[in-house]
Amino acid sequence: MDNLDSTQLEQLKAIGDYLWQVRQEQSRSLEEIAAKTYIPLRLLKALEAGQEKILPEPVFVKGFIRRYGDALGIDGTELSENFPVEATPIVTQLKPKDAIDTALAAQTVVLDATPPSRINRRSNLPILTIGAIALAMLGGIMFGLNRIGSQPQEVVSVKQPETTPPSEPASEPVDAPASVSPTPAPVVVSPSVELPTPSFSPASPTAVTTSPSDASAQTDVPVKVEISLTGDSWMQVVVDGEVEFEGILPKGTQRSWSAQNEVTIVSGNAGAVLVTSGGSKAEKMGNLGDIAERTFTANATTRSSPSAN
Amino acid sequence: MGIDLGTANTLVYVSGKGIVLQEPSVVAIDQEEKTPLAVGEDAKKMLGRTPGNVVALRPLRDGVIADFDTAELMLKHFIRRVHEGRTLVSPRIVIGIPSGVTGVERRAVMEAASQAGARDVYLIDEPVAAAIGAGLPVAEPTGNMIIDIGGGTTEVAVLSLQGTVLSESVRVAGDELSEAIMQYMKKVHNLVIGERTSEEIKIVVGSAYPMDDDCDTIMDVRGLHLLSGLPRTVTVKGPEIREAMAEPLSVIIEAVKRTLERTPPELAADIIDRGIMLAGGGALLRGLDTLISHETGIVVHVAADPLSCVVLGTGRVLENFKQLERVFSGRSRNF
Repeated sequence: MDNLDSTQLEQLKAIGDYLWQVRQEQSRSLEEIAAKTYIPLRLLKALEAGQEKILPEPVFVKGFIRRYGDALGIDGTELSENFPVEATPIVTQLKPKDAIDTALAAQTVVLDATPPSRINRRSNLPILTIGAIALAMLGGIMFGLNRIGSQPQEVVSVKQPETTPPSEPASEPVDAPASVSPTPAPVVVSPSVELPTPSFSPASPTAVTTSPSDASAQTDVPVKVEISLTGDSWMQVVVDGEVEFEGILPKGTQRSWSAQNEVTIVSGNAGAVLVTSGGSKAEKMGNLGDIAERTFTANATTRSSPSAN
Repeated sequence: MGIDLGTANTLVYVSGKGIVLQEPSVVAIDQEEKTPLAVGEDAKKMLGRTPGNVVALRPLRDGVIADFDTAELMLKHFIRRVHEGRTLVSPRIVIGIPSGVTGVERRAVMEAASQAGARDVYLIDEPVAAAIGAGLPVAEPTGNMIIDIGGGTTEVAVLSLQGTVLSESVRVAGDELSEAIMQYMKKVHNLVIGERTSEEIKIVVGSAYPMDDDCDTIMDVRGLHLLSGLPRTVTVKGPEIREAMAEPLSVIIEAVKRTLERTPPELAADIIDRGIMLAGGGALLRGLDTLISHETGIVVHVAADPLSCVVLGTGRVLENFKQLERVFSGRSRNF
């Protein structure tokens, strides 16, 4: 199927590479896996090579990944979670890309102009109708008050619009130097949300170039974590509870992430990952081949890095 | 509002809110005053533990309504609870029903729902709802095979273009497996156990296919010893429970094979490439996917949330009412 979006393609390739790597390490043949999982051989080959044209719909690919992972003795369920499957494949008019974009946007910035998915629009409907009714009632009351014709009321009605605007600019100046979006948090998150799409090797220069853009804001960015790889490793980075990156990073990659609250880094090859946070010395996450998880939190940044040795 | 009126569990989906209720389909009734004492989880605890004047019963058997009044009572209670006391709301309800039911059974569900306060009642075949809930591409012209193993019925269906190409419904499912365990305990261990205990055995040590840690899974079962007539504890192991469940499981496997035999060749080709989706509470039985794979030679996927597939499907149909209107198998309008 060629209806995969770029995020899914990227993940498919990363997962395919990873499965191939694990299979090579265990020196097992594809035929053996096919016999064990009952997945047709050509689909297994396509899965490892990331050839989306041959593979069926995403929901089945997810199942294949799980089966294959389990057959190799790694946690297939967890691995298949990395392959995103959009929630509403039945609505053919809806482009899956939009669905994912809006899902991300809903969590970060709400002012995104992309049209929301059908479900989102439906859930917004009650709020919109309530808003419309409230506005109509307000209008009715004000009209009624005006008709009664006393001047003090008019003053009140003029005052209302005056009082509301100051509250809006009050929030804007805070992040005025940083960007145009109204809240400071999304400024940091939104560029890095789009980062995983180019991903991997080509992404590393962009990652470095984008991070300085919020380097000026580093003083108000509570957590900033940089990693440098001395060997290939599978990585998962969770920033403020959202998975920012997941996949295999090649040797020599340098990336950095910033967060408001906490950054959690999971590495599948801990010895190959040098991690530094808040200007401290770069340290290895663990021994080669080990799986390690480290969390850097906003207030405990200075304390967590030495204690984690 | 989407409802999965299941033999074992009833789930309710409210559009825009998601799954708001998941309770066992059990009602406890006070026999003297003829009033419901408890519904759902509370009533399930009472199953087999009631005094003479209280009866805890399951209004559904084999996927269809067996006790009309109690089923209506239960639906009314659940709908009221979902609406949090607002009585003026009369929702449009989509209900999932087994595919092989008779017209009378179909009508009973419609009646019960409209008596319980529904504006319109739409019926949807459970396998179709489960497939939509599991995220299968049912709108595409490709073959999708789904096995939905619930409490009372197992539904096997091949779907394409929002419709059922062929389906098979056997009244052997989760309850039957529990029943088989109950019989086994009686025959081999001379121990009488209840419905709840046998279900617990199934969940804790039950498996459909030999696993790696098979012999490690043991469980202490308490029940009534037949020979001495006294309560007794017996230890059971995984393999013997698997053996006990072999017969009902083979019925399910046979239904799957029969469906595959009747599948048109083009769709069969699609199914080999895509695999079979397993949904419903029965999908949680360990090794069942491996057993079906082993017997059919086709890869079997277990849905992400097998218990709520049907209700998620009804919910998704509600939210995309216009696009998916063709999936309904029956409807009623009340004024």
